[in-house]
Amino acid sequence: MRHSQYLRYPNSRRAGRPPREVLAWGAICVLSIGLLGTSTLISDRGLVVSASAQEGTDEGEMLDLSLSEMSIGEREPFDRIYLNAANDNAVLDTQPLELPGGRVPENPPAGEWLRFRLLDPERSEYLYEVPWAAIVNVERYPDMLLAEAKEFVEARDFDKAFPAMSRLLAQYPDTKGLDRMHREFLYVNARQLLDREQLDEAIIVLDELDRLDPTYRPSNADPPSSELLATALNEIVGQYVRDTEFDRADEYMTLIQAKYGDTQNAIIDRWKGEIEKVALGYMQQAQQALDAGDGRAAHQAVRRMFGILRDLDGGRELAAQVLERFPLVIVAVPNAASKPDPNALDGWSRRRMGTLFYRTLIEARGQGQDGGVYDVEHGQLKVSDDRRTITVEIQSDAQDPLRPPVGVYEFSRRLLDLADSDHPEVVPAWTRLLDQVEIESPQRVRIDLRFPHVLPESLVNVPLTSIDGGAAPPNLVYEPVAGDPSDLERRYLPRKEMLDAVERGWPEITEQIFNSHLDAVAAIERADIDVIEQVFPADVPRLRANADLLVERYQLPVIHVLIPNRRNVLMQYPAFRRALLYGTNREMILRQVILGGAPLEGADLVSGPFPIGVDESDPLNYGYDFRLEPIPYEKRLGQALVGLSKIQFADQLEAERVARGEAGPAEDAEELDIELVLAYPHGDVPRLACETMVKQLQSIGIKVTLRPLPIGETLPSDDDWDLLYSELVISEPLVDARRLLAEDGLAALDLPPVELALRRLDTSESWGRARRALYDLHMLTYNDVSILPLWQLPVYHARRKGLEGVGNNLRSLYDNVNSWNLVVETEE
Amino acid sequence: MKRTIKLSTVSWLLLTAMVAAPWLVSADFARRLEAQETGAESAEGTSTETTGAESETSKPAEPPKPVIDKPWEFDSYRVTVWIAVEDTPLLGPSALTDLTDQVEWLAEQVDLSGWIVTASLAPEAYQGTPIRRAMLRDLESMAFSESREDRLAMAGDADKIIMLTVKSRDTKFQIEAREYDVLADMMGALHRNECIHQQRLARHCYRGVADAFSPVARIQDSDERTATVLPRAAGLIVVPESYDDSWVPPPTYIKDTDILIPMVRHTGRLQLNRPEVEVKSWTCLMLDHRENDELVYSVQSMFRTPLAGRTARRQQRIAMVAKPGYDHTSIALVSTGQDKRPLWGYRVFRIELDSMGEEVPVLVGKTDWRGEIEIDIADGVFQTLYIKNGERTLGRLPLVVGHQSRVEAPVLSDDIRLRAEGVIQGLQSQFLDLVARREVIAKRARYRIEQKEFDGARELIDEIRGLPNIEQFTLTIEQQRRQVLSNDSREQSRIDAMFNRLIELLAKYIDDGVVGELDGELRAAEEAAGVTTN
Repeated sequence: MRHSQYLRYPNSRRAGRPPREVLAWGAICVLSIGLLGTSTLISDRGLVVSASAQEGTDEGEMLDLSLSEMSIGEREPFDRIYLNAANDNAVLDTQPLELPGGRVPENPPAGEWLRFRLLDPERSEYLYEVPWAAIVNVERYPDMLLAEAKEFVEARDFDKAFPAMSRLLAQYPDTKGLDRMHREFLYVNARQLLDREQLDEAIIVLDELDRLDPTYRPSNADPPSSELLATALNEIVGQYVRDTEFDRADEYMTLIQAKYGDTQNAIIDRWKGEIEKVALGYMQQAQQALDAGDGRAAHQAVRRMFGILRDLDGGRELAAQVLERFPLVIVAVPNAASKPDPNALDGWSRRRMGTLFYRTLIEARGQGQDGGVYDVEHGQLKVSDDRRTITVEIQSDAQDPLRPPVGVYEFSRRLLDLADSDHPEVVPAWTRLLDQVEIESPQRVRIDLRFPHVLPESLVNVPLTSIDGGAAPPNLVYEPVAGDPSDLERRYLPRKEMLDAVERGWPEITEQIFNSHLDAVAAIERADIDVIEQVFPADVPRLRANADLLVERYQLPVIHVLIPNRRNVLMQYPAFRRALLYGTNREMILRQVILGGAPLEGADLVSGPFPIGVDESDPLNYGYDFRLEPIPYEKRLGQALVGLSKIQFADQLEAERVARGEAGPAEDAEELDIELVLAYPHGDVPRLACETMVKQLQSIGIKVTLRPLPIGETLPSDDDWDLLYSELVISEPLVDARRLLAEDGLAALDLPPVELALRRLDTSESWGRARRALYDLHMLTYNDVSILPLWQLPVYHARRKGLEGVGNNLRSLYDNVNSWNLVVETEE
Repeated sequence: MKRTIKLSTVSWLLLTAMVAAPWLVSADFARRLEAQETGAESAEGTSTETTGAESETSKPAEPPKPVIDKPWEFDSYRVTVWIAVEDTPLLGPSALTDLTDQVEWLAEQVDLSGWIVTASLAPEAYQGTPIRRAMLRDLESMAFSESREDRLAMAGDADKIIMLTVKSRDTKFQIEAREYDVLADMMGALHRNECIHQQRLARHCYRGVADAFSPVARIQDSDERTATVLPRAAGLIVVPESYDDSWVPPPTYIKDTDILIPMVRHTGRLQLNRPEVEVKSWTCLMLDHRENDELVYSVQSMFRTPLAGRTARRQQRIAMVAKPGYDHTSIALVSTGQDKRPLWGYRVFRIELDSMGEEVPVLVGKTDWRGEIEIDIADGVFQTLYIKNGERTLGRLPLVVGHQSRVEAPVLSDDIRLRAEGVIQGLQSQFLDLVARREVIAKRARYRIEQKEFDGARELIDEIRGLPNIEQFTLTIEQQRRQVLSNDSREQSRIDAMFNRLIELLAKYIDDGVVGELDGELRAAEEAAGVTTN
């Protein structure tokens, strides 16, 4: 540009040129473009500083862009003057013009001049003027912006068009042609999104267009925006239906109805019809299966039908028929049990299956203030005040073909077996206690004890008959259907003798082992299954919110521990075992990985093998010494102790060499690489916890190899493991302490102080002494890290409301299985 | 009942010599005891048969009384065998006679002079105490009259009474034999054997007698570790000059492998609070070597000096061969002191030799709630057992397995010490963590100082300051110490020693001055860096 003779400088003044490096020119205009989460700061000098640079680094990327490379929208507002040929058709970019009324006059008065300042920073301080006669055209910034937006829209570059549009709408809403441009922008954008099948984004855009003008169309050849909206909605609902997410389709249609009123009824009617067709299809399948006698297929079809529509005509009646002829309950479980035992210490699944199959000699009825409450079936159990006599009365004439009364002889025989040192199921504390058993009458047994005991009946809470590690045939209603132990589905049917004895039916129970808790949740929400036997803790809030489900907590929590195998020399060092705890962030695993960030009452870290109870008032925590805090996560200390253990190991090897008479000091030994094998049972919680622990232990120098156990197993069949993840069910610390901590117990501890404390526990004549002994055991195992305590988790089950008779305050899912009853679910 | 004694010519000659000897075996055993007490050469002396010249020189001050005892080594055993046969059609009316005759004959054949065996039908009763029926009913738990005098009188001039029963079971005969030793006033173990063929019944009965018979020796001298004994009738038993394993020694002979149980017989006036015969419990003698007729034994005992020192004048120290009759012996561990409690859960080890000849302890098992554990004879007749509670060995029990069905062993109960052991282990763990934590934090603090991260360093130094110091940890130790107090002074001293060792370690490895050092280092670093702090 050159200065023309016509430019006058009424107010010209010269000023020093501002230094180029000065950034503070005018305001810095910030435009956020949401592209990959990166914000861009743009200054009016065109300096682009990336936001990431501004957040994290001291220096950002400084890019100089010339004004010509920037879009109109990226620039500070300016105007443009087009001069005539006499002025070489110059095009002048100026600072915003001060015009009367803010508009370019259509007929500027003759002889009038237009005053302006150029945008050029070298001349911006000069006030120029030009006669209106020399001006061909004046473009205002909004107009340019609008034109640019139009270009971008036509070029389908909506990322660039959007900021221009946003600026126009925000700062220049009255720009001529803006409304139309806006609609066109939205329309074209929506079409592009629809073409790309970005339906959710398309809906957002169409919603906005619909508010502005539901009939808009750029040309008559184009469909109106309302039609585009309908297309998008139709496609969204259709996708849900094709994905068989009928609940979500239904929810979405409700949303459509609420939002758009009757304008989209056609879509709603269409897809409701489609959904009903699918449901009818399943209904037909169910009927066919019912007629053919295929109960499982009929169930499957009815579930599918109800998962789609509950109020299908005839659906409920058909479902009732299916339930009556082929009652079936499908239970999602995380694991099976190769050795069922109603009193198992390790493995919730073992107890579950044990409860399904086997009766117990004495029943645990719940938790009292002083230990558990025990009684006998069809009778009464009383302990004398001096706690040296137990009297058992059995109503031998009670009529219960499912669980007939136990004869006094059989009862007595079992008590004597448990006291027999040569019997495989001997209970040592009972051997010490039992003096004699006397059958006083056909209904009454008297048991005399040598010494008083704080809760003698708890010692004989065992299966009624020897179950031979779970191999004995069941003596309750259900028995397993033979199948492959590795199958993910197991079936249980009522025994024929039971069916003959009682005129009622029981549902077939099918347990399905789910490899992922998410699949189980989806399945129960679809009504493909009836029960989730152990809800993954993080799923509890979600399932609780589902109106079709009942979510309840079991009586007993589970204590999760790692049991070390002392076959590994390093595991014999208490320092090494403590290093494992210091190096594991159990708090994080529990709160984030298992609980998903949401609190759950009763879930907490533990410092010992006994339950802390689900709340402070839970009497089950009588064995836990709350003064002992869990060992905290201290990675560096863990590393230090690992290093110490390596030194100890090297010293031990040296000592053995010397003892063998091997001459000379040992050469510098290679750095010991520590590798451990961590075995864990099937299930989400053990798997996720162990996978996380592997990484954490790696960071303190311990390499861990995971060894998942086969389905149904809770103990490795060989000795090739160093740590075992175990889920303990401690229902009575007074008794279970020995089962866990004795030399022949689960943890196989060979520690004389622990043995001494166990003996003191076995001989406790008062609760005070029992608690002191349990506290001692807690302290001993805590100090020695005999087992590595992780956390306690409450256990929940979820079931659909169509399954009744389950009961509440359960110790196991199958506590009341004899009373289970299936009904057709009602919609609330 | 007419009794026929068949003797060989040699036997007759010897018998005549014995009769002609100046000693008279008196039926009144008590009078002999009295004679010994009043100054006759005691049992530890040599034979009192002296020449006239010798007797003049060694004559006691008091007028000599007639000494009626034979020399020990020439004193044959007088053994009375009482036989009780259960009524059975398998045995005719002359069966008993045949048995008694044959038992005597066999005994004579085996050892002509070491013993004199007289067999007869067991008496019906003695002074109201049923004998024969009791033998047949339950020989194992049979007991004689509670009166020692009655027992002596019942025994007559016999040194031993061997009770033998014969019962028929199915097609076999069961023979049981049990000895009562008059000198030791002790019942032996029950020995059983079975006989299938009736014609061999007498041999089996003799075998019962031989099994039950326990030779006796007199302890001539002893110290802490050894004892020299002189077997009874050693001079009469015929032993080949050289023999191999095929030689079957007579029952009166003490074999190399026999284990002896020592005992002390008090020969003075009987005191009510002291038994006449005191068995040295948990003490055994194992043969070391032979010196002519004397045998030298090593003393294996739970106690330090069970036999040391000279015998008092009113004591007679003897030892009897322990003859196991049972497949096992139950040991019952009880606590020492007046309040005897069964010791449950104590571990019992025995020593075995490995392939290299090294002694290795082998766990036998743990005592049950009654404090009992069963020791099987299959692992050896003689076993030295060690009792441990925790890491500490509490006792050493030499045991002849099968000699008694059940024995009681007093062992110091140190449950409190064991409890202290557990407490100490816990404190050691805490201590180790504390030391490690202080080291780790100190290193981190020094690193921060190096890196001029002074605020971070200050935080870490404060963290160390917040950890327990020596004083606080000592307080924790003392609090724990008060939880484990014992009434037994020895036990308490051991417990105190354990705690004191820990306190010593504390002082050695925890340096309370490290906080001051770090403070100094931090200040110096800050000054060097020109950082001013408040």
